[in-house]
Amino acid sequence: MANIVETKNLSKSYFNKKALDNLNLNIESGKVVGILGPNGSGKTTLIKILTGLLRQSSGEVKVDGHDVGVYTKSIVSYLPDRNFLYKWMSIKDAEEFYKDFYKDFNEERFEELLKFMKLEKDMKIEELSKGMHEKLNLSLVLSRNAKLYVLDEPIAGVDPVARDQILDAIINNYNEKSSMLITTHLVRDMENLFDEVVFLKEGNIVLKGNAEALREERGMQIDDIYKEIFG
Amino acid sequence: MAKGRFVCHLQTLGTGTFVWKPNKSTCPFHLTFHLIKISLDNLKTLVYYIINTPKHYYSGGEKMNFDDNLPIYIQIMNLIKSDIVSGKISGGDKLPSVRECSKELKVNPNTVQRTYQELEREGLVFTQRGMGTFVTEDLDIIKSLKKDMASEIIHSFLEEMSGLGFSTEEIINILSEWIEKEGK
Repeated sequence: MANIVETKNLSKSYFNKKALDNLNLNIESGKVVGILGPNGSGKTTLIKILTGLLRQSSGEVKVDGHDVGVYTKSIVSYLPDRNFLYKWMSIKDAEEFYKDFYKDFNEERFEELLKFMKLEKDMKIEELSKGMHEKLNLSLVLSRNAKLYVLDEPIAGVDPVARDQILDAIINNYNEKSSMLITTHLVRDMENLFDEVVFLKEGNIVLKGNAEALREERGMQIDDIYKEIFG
Repeated sequence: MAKGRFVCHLQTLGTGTFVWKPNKSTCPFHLTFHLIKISLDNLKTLVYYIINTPKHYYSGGEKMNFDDNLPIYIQIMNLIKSDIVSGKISGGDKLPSVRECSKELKVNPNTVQRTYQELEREGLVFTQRGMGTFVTEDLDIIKSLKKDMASEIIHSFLEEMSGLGFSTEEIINILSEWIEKEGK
């Protein structure tokens, strides 16, 4: 199977600090991949490079065989780790906003997701709680027919019930034709979703593999492996 | 807590309920026992008697906790096996689709796919193209699965009990007393 993401000797420095250090990472399409690591391990930097928000200092990145640019942005649906909608917007405005930007936006799916998340279109962004924000953002991101979904901390700061809803939405909308890249440090809650996991430490891969194979090999859950590596 | 050990130290437990997770991948049960405290005449030894029937830790439809140190697909296999053995799913029944099952348990669909494949390899289920996955109607297979699982439980039970210092005789006594109580 082709790789949806390939990086070769990818490095990124912020002045003296190396955020990514010669990272070689291939991600097969059709997989749900968890990128795990503590704060400051380079997860978000990697994602920002993949989504074209940052440029690498050196090395190569290919998304679906292309350099990061207009094409890759059209096939990558990205959930940032912070709010990206304007405060004055209502959910309806946000939908229009997405529809204008992305050709692959699926209105029907968005309606379904809103219903599932129990959100109303006339709600104002300003008035949404943190959990509702996260649900809305995810609904927007999952409503695109993208080849690659990149979710940066999709359940951070969200209560357990909303968390379950978000996980459900992710599972329901996953299909074999697309891939998902999910960063999290809430490993316990999300690990059952992953086909593959990548452990990042100080800009490097310390461990990568099939989640089930790792459980089998080490006789522990991914969460415990995480604690062993970073603890 | 290590696999296959009592979750609580019996001595510190007092009266109440505790969960016993038997070891080995093939045993799907998490058993809940109720304990009572009985002191044995002059020995000043406290012996805990198991007085309640084993109970399923999981019943379908709930969110499952995958906390064993086993791969998820094996844990789901064990779950389905125990449902087959207990008769919750009978021979010839259709299993939920991969997608339904993955939604229900909140796991990756590929994991459920793998579960079904492994169950099929073991002859417990079969797939009909376009129809879904069904539990085998071969009663012999189900019977032998039941037997395997029972011997697994008994084996680890005996191991645990002798680990606690019970002699075979004591174990038999405890068991028969327990069964007697249950019978009433």
